[in-house]
Amino acid sequence: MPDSAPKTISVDYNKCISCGICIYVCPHDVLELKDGVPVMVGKCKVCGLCSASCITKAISMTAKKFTDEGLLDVDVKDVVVFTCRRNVEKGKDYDATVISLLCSARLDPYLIAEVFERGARAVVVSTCGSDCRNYPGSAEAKYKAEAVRMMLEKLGEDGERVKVVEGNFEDAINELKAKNFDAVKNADDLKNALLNRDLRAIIARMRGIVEDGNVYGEKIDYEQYLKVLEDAADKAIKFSIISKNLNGGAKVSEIVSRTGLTYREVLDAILEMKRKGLVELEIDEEVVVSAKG
Amino acid sequence: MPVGAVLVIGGGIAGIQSALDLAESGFKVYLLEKLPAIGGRMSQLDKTFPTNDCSMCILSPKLNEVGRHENIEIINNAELVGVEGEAGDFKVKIKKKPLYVDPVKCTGCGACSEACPVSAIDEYNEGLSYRSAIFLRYPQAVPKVYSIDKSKCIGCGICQNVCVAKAIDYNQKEEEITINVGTIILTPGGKLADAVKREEYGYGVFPNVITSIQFERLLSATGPFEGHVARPSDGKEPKKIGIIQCVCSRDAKTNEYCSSVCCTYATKHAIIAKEHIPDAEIHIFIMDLRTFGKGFEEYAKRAEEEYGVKYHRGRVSVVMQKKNGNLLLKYEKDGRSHEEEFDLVVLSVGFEPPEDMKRYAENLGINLNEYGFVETDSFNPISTSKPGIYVAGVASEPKDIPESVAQASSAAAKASSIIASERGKLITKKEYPPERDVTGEPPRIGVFVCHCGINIASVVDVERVAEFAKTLDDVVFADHLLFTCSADSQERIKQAIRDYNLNRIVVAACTPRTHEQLFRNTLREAGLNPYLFEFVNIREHCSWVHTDKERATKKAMELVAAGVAKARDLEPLQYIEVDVTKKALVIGGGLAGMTAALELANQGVETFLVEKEEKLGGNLQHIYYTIDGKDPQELLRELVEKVESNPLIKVYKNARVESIEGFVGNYTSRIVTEKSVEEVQHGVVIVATGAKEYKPKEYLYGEHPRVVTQVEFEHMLINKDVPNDVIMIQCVGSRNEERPYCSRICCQTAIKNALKLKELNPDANVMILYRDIRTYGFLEKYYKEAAEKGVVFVRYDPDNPPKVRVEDGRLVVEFYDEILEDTIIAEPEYVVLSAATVPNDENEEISKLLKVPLDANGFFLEAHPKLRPVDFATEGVFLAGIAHSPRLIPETISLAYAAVSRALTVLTKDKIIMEATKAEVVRERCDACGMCVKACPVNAIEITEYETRAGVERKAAVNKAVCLGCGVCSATCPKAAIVVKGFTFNQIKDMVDALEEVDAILAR
Repeated sequence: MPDSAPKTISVDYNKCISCGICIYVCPHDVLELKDGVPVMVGKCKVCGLCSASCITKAISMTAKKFTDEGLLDVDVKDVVVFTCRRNVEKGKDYDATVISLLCSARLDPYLIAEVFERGARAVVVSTCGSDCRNYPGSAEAKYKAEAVRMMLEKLGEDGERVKVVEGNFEDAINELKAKNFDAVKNADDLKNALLNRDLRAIIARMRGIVEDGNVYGEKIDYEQYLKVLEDAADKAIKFSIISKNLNGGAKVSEIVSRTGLTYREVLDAILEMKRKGLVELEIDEEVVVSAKG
Repeated sequence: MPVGAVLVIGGGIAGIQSALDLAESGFKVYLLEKLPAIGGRMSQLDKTFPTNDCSMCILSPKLNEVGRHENIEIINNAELVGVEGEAGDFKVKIKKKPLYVDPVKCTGCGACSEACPVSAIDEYNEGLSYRSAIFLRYPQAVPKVYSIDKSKCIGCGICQNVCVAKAIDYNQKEEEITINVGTIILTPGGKLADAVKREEYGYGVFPNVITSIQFERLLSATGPFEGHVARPSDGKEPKKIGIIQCVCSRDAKTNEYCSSVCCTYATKHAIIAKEHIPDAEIHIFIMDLRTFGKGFEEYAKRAEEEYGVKYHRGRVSVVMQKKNGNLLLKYEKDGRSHEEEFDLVVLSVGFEPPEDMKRYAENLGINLNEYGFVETDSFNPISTSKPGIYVAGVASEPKDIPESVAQASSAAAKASSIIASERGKLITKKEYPPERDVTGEPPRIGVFVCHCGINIASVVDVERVAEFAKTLDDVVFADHLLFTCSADSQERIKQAIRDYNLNRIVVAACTPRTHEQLFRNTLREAGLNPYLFEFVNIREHCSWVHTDKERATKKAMELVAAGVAKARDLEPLQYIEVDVTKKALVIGGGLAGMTAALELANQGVETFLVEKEEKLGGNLQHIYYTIDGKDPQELLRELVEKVESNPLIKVYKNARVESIEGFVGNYTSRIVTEKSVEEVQHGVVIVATGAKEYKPKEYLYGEHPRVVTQVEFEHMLINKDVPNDVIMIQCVGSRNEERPYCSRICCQTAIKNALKLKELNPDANVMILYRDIRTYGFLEKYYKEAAEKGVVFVRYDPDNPPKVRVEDGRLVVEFYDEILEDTIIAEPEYVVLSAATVPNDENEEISKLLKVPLDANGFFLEAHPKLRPVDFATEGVFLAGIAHSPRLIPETISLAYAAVSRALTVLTKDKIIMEATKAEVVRERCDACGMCVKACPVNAIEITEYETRAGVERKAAVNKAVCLGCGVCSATCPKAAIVVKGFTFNQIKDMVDALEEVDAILAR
């Protein structure tokens, strides 16, 4: 571990692949890559955006309360609110599970999937908008929530389950409750997809590239970027569906009958999974897929 | 002053060959490639016909040679912008597109590609798989540098952060450079036609209809399923495959010409598919089977007889898809319509000019022909319409790899001709680091075991072999590599030599014949003597010949153990250098021989041209017109005059070569004429002895005066002896039991003569009885023209050939017409036989004289049918013209120039480097018995007298320049007094011992 290891966040050096996303997103420019790992070069404001954006989930918050486990140590009600702590009225009893983040920047899209898996039917994300102290942290949260909405629709769920508001979120809770959503089916696929490294990278860099420009100093049009994001989401979802149905090793035809995906979709996905080192392929009359490692 | 540099545009196999020939004969070469990696179409192929050689395995050494050649500068990811100037001095503007990766820093590790979150269609795998936005085109790519596909990159910055070598540079900008060259060679290849144009076949709609190049990728070890054939719709292994020929070739809707290669590659696909799926049934739908190249006819026969491939003569009208993804093919055969179901359909797509051909033409100021390919002239097949700019490969006409390679060498000869005065002026000599002295060091052996894609790894467990190697004494490092011959593997070997201080290297891979030089060079680059290398062949000796994986793996271990045992005893040896006599001997004064002699003389080489007849010209003397209206007699007159008046060419007529002694760079030959016997010194030999027309025994030839051969018929027509009614019979003496090969030229000759007859006598009846009409390439249009002019083509089956008889003095021809389903009896005025082209009788004698082999048909056998079409395995001896195989005038000319280009790679060097593995006499043990002198097949040993302290002693002595290192002497010597360096008794004994110890080692 380097001497200047950050104190406010913990980096799992076995997981870190030196992608540098945390450095790109940090609103206060206090991180730098040194010898391939992030180090702190200024004063951290503990917004949590690096942790929320880390593509391999190598970064977690040092304060237990703000780790994924800490944040999720709640009873999940029908509606779950992820909010900047500034938007929470002290002592108020909300008709929802309110998860108070230090800043909405800490919103890891995976957390939304996790609460859906645990029975939540709708999620409100409350940010401080342009008033965010860690701007563009709030905007990042909004992009992440949008990505989850898009993925829900890909899974055949209503994207309206996820609502982003600025400031007060009480109306949003009532509005969503009134819609009487069912539980999210296949929330585990959403969750696993949101752990996919490539998808996380594309989500994490979206705001920066669309609004500020990429490494070439060029901005990519929102709609155009969305296509890249949708492709990655599609793939990540299929990866998780297929992985779930491998049971140690399966023929393509078995995967097709288990998942309802088409042959084309399965073949496309497994070739990519092979390229990404997730599966091994063999052929014996037909393609047989088994998980790697 | 001309410029001693050449620009080669296009880094496919043709461009590679041109570049290597030029760089090896003293010119600076710029090799322009539009993609980030050279290799072209050949790099995508799995196997090559007709030998089924692994394409990458024969290409990779060439890629590496180009990559590391000090006189070749690869300008990759770049395009031509403009050309100014003229022959001898061109200024060329080139736009270099950014790779966004620094090629000097990139180690090719692939971490960037692994981390890149964006995926894109993989063009190398023809859309059958995906790649990242930052990628390497293929694992063995040269240069080994990753590049960013900007159209797919989102600019997230991950690759830059993960790159340990700090090679990623997003700030790279497009850059324009100007280079100065004397001549230009255009080798951009061709693109494959878009099968969507033949919509009735459902390509792009039905997933299990794929193109031939996609099938090639499916079959390849670096393909989407690592060489397993899985059909796109459901990943199942297809058991019944239909291959449709002439997709966008010989087709009025798309391209009229024939693409020349598809019949043979489809045959290859069928054979390889059968090897992958032994119980598969494979049908090929053809119009004519055009396997006209050397060895191709025999290849197709093997496909049919050994592999059970079925050829159907009939055009597929439509492909329909069934619910299960299978395909229904409707086709016409024998006048009836048929329907057959297949699991997979492969469309054999033809060649088209490359996308940017028009731009090339504009920039270079050259003409294109009616089909959009580069216009050439059949007597100048390599020259474009602009002086100083030459063309080779598919860019001028669809053709296969050997023809492309021959043309590439040809183009190198032509391109160097006008800048010959500048030879050697712009080149640098390759410097190797000083050789590390390993004397006294204990052996520290490194072993590298090759997967060869799946060529080895599918049978031999290479990881276990590498693990086993680690257990052997003195082995301090062992590893296994996907392709040990790839550029990055060379870096890994060099790194291991440095990191582990290795002083002996063993590579267990393929054959030293193709790859030994590559690895030896790697050792030299790492500061080791090249002879501290031992090659173990676990492909030809294990994986290709055994199926039992366990035993093959064990055998591989044994061979590795033997290799390691020998490696322990290896000692540094020094290459032998000999001077080069810069003169050439050309045997044969026909078109090929004269063309070669003239080009050699143009390049300043004194040449001896030996012709057995009293006149120069050979077969060209009997050709009076060409199919495209050129005058061969004018060409003949011109050539003879130029040859006979050239001061550098000495012509011997009525002459023969009685003996040839010596070795590359230093030959002495005796040329015998009626008047004289002359001894000449020369550095190379070009064999251009030609071939002749077969004198048929069939069809009453020689018995009836009006049964003639095509050559005789041509002579008749030119003498205005013009008949009214002619039947021509094809394949007389070819494609039969006795002569299984196709004579290649006879289909065009028959059509040429039929058209001539029609021109002289439009009312004449001409019928051509054929088996397959093989008007390949642009010749197809003459076939069409003949049919339009009323020449009647009737196919006959070889099992039921036409019969010719005489009734009351009248010629009667009886044949079965497959379409009319009836036997026809005709009474033509003349029967014209398209007689085979047969090798000359002297071939055998010359083959013995030069110690070069003949093929099964009596033609000369080149060093490699794919990549060395005009070389012999014997260094310094080259092959040109129809002594190689039957061919047309332009193809003959092309081989002649090619032989010159190859010869120049020898003749332009002051010294030749020879192998150090030569016999050496251990004087103390020699008692001058002379047995070795008698045993030596090349007369390299003699008994000489030495002054010693004890007085004069007689001992054997070896002329190392002549010695081939074959070892016969060593095996003969009763006193073990003569040894071959690198193959000593001890080394061989250790290898044998090691084989026996493997079991004990494995049991440890």
